Amino acid sequence: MNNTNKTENRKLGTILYVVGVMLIISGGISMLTSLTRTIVYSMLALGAIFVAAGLYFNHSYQTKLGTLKALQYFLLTVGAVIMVFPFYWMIASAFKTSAEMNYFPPTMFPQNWLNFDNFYIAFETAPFGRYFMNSVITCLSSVTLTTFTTILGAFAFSRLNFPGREMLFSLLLSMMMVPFEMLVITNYTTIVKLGINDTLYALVLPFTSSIFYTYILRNFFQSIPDGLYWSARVDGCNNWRYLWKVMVPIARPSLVTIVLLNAMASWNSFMWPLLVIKQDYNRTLPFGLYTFTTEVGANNELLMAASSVVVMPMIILFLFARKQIVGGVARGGIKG
Amino acid sequence: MSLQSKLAFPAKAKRNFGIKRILVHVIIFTIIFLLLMGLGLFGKKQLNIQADSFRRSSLIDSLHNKGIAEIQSAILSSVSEEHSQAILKSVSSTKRMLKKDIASMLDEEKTIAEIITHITNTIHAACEKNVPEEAISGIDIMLVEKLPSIIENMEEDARAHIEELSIPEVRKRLSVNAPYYPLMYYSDALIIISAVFLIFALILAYCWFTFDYDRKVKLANILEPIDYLLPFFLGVFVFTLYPIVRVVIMSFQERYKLDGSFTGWGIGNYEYVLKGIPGTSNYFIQGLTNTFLYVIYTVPVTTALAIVIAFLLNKKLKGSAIYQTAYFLPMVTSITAVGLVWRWIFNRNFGVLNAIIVMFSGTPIDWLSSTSYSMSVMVIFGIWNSLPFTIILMLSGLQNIDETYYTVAKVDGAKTLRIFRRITIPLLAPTIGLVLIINSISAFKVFTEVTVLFNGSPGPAYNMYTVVYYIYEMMHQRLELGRAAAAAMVLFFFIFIFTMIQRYIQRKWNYV
Repeated sequence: MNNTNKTENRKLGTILYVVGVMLIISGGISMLTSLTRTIVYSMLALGAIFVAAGLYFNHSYQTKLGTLKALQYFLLTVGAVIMVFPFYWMIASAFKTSAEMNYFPPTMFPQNWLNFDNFYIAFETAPFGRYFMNSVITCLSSVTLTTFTTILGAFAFSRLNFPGREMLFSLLLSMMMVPFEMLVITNYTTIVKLGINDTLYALVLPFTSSIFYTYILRNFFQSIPDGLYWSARVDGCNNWRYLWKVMVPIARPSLVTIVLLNAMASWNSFMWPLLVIKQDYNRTLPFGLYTFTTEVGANNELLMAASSVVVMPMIILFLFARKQIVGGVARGGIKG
Repeated sequence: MSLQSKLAFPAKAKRNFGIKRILVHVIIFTIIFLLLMGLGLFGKKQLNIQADSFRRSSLIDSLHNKGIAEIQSAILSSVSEEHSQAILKSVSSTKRMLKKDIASMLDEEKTIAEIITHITNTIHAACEKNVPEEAISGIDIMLVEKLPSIIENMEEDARAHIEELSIPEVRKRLSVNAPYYPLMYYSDALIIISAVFLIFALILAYCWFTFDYDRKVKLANILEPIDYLLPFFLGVFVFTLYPIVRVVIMSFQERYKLDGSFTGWGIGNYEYVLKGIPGTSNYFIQGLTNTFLYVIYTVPVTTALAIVIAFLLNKKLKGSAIYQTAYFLPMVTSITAVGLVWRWIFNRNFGVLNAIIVMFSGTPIDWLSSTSYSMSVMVIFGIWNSLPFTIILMLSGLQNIDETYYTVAKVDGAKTLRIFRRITIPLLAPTIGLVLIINSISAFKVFTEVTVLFNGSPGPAYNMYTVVYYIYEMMHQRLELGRAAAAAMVLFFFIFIFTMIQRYIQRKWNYV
């Protein structure tokens, strides 16, 4: 008697549960339609009650686990949608015509996904090709120089012995907490005094060495066992060759991280170009994009097209090297 | 050669750089010396040319203005009132021609006396046309009488001009756009630095010729780390260490400007920054308040959201790679670009956010131009923007928690929420503390967000100043570098406090 009662309860619970979930899902979908709000809300509320009742009657481990998992997925998905939405919206808006942009409520999808007019117009109105080249040149030279100085510096601080090494390094580390916003003032005067303001040199020179990246790489270099070094030395390998033939290949993951973080920082830097660059043809992408806003006024579709151009290389880079970037950020604890 | 050094450089020792490093240094230092010396001397030469042209133009100016004025006053004092108009007219008619004459006569290296005489003659000739005969004779007498004293005055004046325009003075007056500006400005420094290199080269050459093998090895071993560190330290010195020292000094130089001028030493910059101009709104204090509010609003919310999301991501659900990509995307993208996207989302008339509000039967909000929503806009954007970074830190904190805690808890029948509250949160405490601090520090430097969201002005009605925006404006728009430095020092004060807390946390929990 008791047993049959239980199984019946369970069946009832399962039915209630399924109906509730379906109600919630359909309520969620009808949110997007023009159905009366009260109906939608009551659908959702009813669904929640049904699910709760179903769980009450059928509190088996599987159902609970399933609900919990579904809930987790739901939360994660909602969050992910919110995080990604601006990017989707940027790309979708970039393909809309200016008439489409002025619909209210806005349409979720552009009428024509292959409408590249905005990109053409944006590239004609402002020299985005030039900005792009400037960004690439600055990024590449800054990354190359920084990586080079970082490798040498980290090697000296981890492998070579000289008096006052640790003290010097802790001094450097304490300099790391000084915000760039404070150094900017003097760096600006230095750049002006050197007569290279408003040139691409001004964008590269201050960023040729980084204490932070040296710190990361030194930590990695120090984890390479001493035995390797001494055996290489006995084999007649000098420091320079040891560094490039042994250390650097081993430290490749760390180096990749450093290069990626550095490239990101260089590509996205905004305040420094804003300060030192004046002429149009010397601007980098973010700065050029920023000045583009005043040129296009209310034509947001052009702005979105230009923004996509600025953002895309970094997104592609991220899709290919997510693990390295995330690892680097986690290890460094400093925003890229 | 001692036994020890033989052991240190065995079989293939010939390939080693070894002690030849010293010789290479001598050569490189000599080359650098020649290069810098050449540049310095060239700069010095250019500077002298520049100084001469400055002197010449100031001499022309003084002869032209002061000389003519003195002659004119001498003439005027000799004639009656009625003719003064005519004389002034005739003098001004010759002025332009005289300037050319003075320049060409200076080129021919005529003396000042000759030039003044020429000016007098020209003016006299002009006067003869306009002024009646009887007045001219009076002028003649007066001029003959006064001419020597005028010449003497002008000669003295010219000497003063040349003395006043000493080389340092010329350096200050140089235009930034002048060709070879940096070479001219730093000519002395270049020569001194090149001399230092020469001294080093000489010392090393001396060592090379006098030292025995062991001491040469020692010297090479000292030189080696210096070589490795040099490129790194060059950047650090010029663009990190020097600026730190300089900005502290600059903050005490009242009203320091880009051209290096300042009104005096003292705490005037700090007074200006903290007190502002009485009677007007103090944008620095406003910026400080805004920045603090921004930190207080964004950081805890971001951290709380990040804990939940990181906890869920860490459960290794299916498709977690996709979720991670989605959540971390804002971290890699330019704040400028995504800021523009958010501006479009916040748009009053056609924005998505208002569409959603209307969907839930609310009234559309004027997000960007209404002052009461400026902070909300910033906070929403700030949270979205700093979330990925925070999640990453939280995730790595979570992955550091030993798996056995969870296993034991599960065996004991603890539920997910309970595990989260009783195990995850306490063990994550140091990470949470650290993340709060790091996020606060980076939120303290908020600048790009303001600039981009409000289209280059600090909020719709100058109500969203932040500390860094204030520094930027002081430096870039008002060119008050001293005051910007003082503001930066105040910013640093707060960041320093936060960093000390961070260090404390790291040390206490043995973290990182």
